[in-house]
Amino acid sequence: MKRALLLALVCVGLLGSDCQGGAVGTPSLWLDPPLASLTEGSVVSVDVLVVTASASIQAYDLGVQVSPPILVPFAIEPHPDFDDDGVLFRPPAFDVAGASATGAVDVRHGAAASGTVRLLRVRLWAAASGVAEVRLSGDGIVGPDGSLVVSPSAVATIQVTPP
Amino acid sequence: MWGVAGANHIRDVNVPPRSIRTALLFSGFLGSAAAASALLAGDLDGDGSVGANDEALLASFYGSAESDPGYAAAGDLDGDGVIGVRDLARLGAAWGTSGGPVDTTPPSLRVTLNDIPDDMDDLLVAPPGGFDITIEFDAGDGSVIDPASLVVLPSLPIAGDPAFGDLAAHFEVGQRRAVWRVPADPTLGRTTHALLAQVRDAAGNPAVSLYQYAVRDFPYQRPPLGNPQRIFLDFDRNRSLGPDVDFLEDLRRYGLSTTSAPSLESEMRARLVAEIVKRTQAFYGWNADGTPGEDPVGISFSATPPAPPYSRLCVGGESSLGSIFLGAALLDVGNSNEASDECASGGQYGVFPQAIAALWPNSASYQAAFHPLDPSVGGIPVGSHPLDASVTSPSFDPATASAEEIARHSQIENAVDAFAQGVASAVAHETGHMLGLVAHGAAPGGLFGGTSGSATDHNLAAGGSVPVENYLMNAGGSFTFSELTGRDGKALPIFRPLNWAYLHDRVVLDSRVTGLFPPPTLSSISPNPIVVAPGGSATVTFHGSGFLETPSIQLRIEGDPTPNALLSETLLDGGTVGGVIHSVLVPPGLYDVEITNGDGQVLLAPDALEVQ
Repeated sequence: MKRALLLALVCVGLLGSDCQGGAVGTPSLWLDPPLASLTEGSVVSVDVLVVTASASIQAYDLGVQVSPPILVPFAIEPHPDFDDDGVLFRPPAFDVAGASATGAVDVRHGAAASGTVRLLRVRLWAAASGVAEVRLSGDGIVGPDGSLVVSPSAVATIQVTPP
Repeated sequence: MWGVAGANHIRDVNVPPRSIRTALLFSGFLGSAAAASALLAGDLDGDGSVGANDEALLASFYGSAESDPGYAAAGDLDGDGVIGVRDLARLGAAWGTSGGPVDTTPPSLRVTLNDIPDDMDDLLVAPPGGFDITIEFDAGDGSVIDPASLVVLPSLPIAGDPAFGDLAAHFEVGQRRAVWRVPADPTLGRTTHALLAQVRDAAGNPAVSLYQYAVRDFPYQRPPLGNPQRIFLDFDRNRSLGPDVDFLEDLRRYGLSTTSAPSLESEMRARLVAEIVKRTQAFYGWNADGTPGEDPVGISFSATPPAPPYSRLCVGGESSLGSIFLGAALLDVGNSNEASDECASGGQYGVFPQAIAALWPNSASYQAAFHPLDPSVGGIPVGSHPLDASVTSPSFDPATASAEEIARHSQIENAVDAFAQGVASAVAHETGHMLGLVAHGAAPGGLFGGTSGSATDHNLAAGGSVPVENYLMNAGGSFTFSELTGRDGKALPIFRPLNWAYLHDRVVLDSRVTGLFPPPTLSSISPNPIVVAPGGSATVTFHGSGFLETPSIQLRIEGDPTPNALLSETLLDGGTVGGVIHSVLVPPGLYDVEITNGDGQVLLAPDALEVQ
C-alpha cells in the first residue's frame, strides 16, 4: 500500500503524465529506478536517464541531493550511453554531511546523443533507515548550441530499512 | 642591463620609463604582430583546431564568471558572462573541427603599482613594502593566456628574492591580471626599481613590458595612516545658534522628523546617525556591521568621542560660506595632524546637510526622495502621519501591512536612504581632505589634486581635466544628486586607485623625486688623504656617477652619531661634485662618506675619506 502510494506521487507529481518511460512531446528526465528499497548499510545505484524526444544532448552539469540525508552519494560515474571517453569532464564535489554531490559535468565530443540516453550513474550508501528522496540539481542538460534541453527536476524515492 | 630569456632584446634600465615602454612595445619590437583573426569557436589554444587541449583549457575556466580572476573571454563561447555547461556543449559540438586560423596575435601586457591607471603611473614612489605590483594582460581576440608562462624579473633584490630572480611564484595569477602584495622589506633599496614582465598566450605569443618605479621612506618615517585614524562625527553642535542642534534642524527641514513627535524624532535621529556612520565607513572598505572588509583603510568613525587622539568633523546645519556648501575641511597632506578639530574654525568647516536642498532642488531624484515628507512643498513629515509610528517600527512587516502602510513606509525609507547616503558621501569626502586628499600636483609630489578654483584639493585627471568617473574626491560641484547618492542607476562614488593606494600607505608622496634616476656611485675622492690646516679649509672633489643637483655630502665617523658637514658642495657635472672641508667642522679622522642626491637617494661609502 505504501509502495503504491509512493509510486503515484512520483508519477503524478514529479515525472509528468507518462510513468512508463515513453517519449512525450518534450524531453524529460528520469531517475531509474524511481523507487527502491534497501537495507541499511547497503548500496544502491540510480541512473539518470534522459528521453530526448526530438532534441539532442551535448553536455550536462548535474548534481544530486538526498533529503533527509539518510543516503550518502559516494560515487558518480559517467554512463557509456552518453560518455565517449570514459571520464567525466569534471568530477563532482561530494558533501557527505549534506548528502549531496554537485557539479558532475560531461560532454560528448562531436556528434550529440539522442533518444533514451543514460547520462550517469549515482551510487548511494544507506547510512540510516527511513524514506529519502533523491533529487537532481545543477545547471542542466544542454544541446549542441548550448541551449537548455532539460532542467534537472527528477526524483527517486528510496526506502531504507533496518538490517 | 637586462637580459630576458626567450626574447632577443636588452635594454638599459636607466632611461625614462615611458620611452622604454614605447621602445618595448612588444608587438612592434618582436615584429610578430598580426592582424587579429577570428579563431574557431572553441579553439582556445589558437592552434586552428578544436580538440583535447581546448577542452582542458575550458576545464580550467569552468564555473568562472566575468568578475572572477580565472575567467577567460575566449572560453565564454555563448558570451553570457559565465563559463559553464552551455559553453562546454558548444565546444563539444565543435570537437574535431580544424583548418581555422592559427593565433599569431600577442596578448597585451601592462605592469603598474596598486592598479593605478596608465596615465598616472609614470612616476610613482612606493614605500619599502606593503604595496601591490599589478600586472594586467588581455588575450584580446587571440587564444587564452597561459598563466604558468608569467615571468617577472626585478632589477634589484626584493622581499628576499635576488635581483633577476623570477618573482612569478609570488603572484596570484588569473586570466587577466596577476597581483603580488610585496611584504615589508626594510632592506628594499631606496632607489629606482625596474620590473620586466612577460606572459604568453596558449599559442605561445609573448607580451613583454618593463616598468620602473621608485622606493623611498615615508616622510618622518610615518605613513599617513600608519596609526589607525579615529574620526568623531559630531552631530550635536548648534553652530547656527538656532532653537535646536543643527542636525535636528536638518531632519525637520527635510521632513524626516517633527517637533510634534519628539519620541519618533529621537528614534529617527538615532537611526540616521547610525546609517551615516555605517555608510561613511563603507567608503573606506568597512562592512556595515563594523567589521573590516576585504581591503579596509585604517580608519574608524563614531558618533561619540573615541579615545584620543581623534579628529572631529561636525555634521549639521548650513555653512557660513553659503547655503550651497555641502562640506569643507582643511587639506592635511600626509595626515600630519591626527587630532584636528574641523568644528573649531567658525562655521565654515564641516558637513552641512541643508545644502542638499540648495544644490539639487530641481533634481527629479531629489524631489522623489524628499517632497513626500518636506513640509515646505506640502509633504507630510515623519511623525505627522497617523501611520508613522507603525511603519517606522522595527517590527514593521510589509507582508502583513496594508497598501497605505507600505506606501508610507516606502516614502520614509526612500528619504532616509537619500539623506543618509548624501550626507555619508559628503562626510567621506571631507574626511578624505582631512587625511590628505587630494594632495596638489602630479605624483609623486601630489596625487593629481587641483590647485585653483573649485578643483582645489580635488581630483584632476592627469591631463588636468575633471575626471569623468564618479570619484568621491572629485570637486563637489561636479556631482549630480544621483551620483552623490547612488540613485537612478548610478553607482556610488569611490576613491580612485591612486587615492585608494595613498589611503592604504601604498604610495609615498615625495616631491624630491622628479625622475627615475639611478643611484649615485662614488669611484674616487681627490685628494685622499686630504690635509686641512688647523683653522683653515681645503677643496675636495668627489668622482662618480649619478650626482643630481645638488647632492648633500656628510662625513661620518664610526661611533659618532652626529655627521660632519662640508662647508659647501658644488655640482660640477653628473659625475663630479666639489666640496670644501673646514677644519672646525671636520676634524682629522677616517670618514664614511654619505652622499644624498636631491631626489633622496643615498650613497654610503664606508671609510672612504681620510682627513689629516
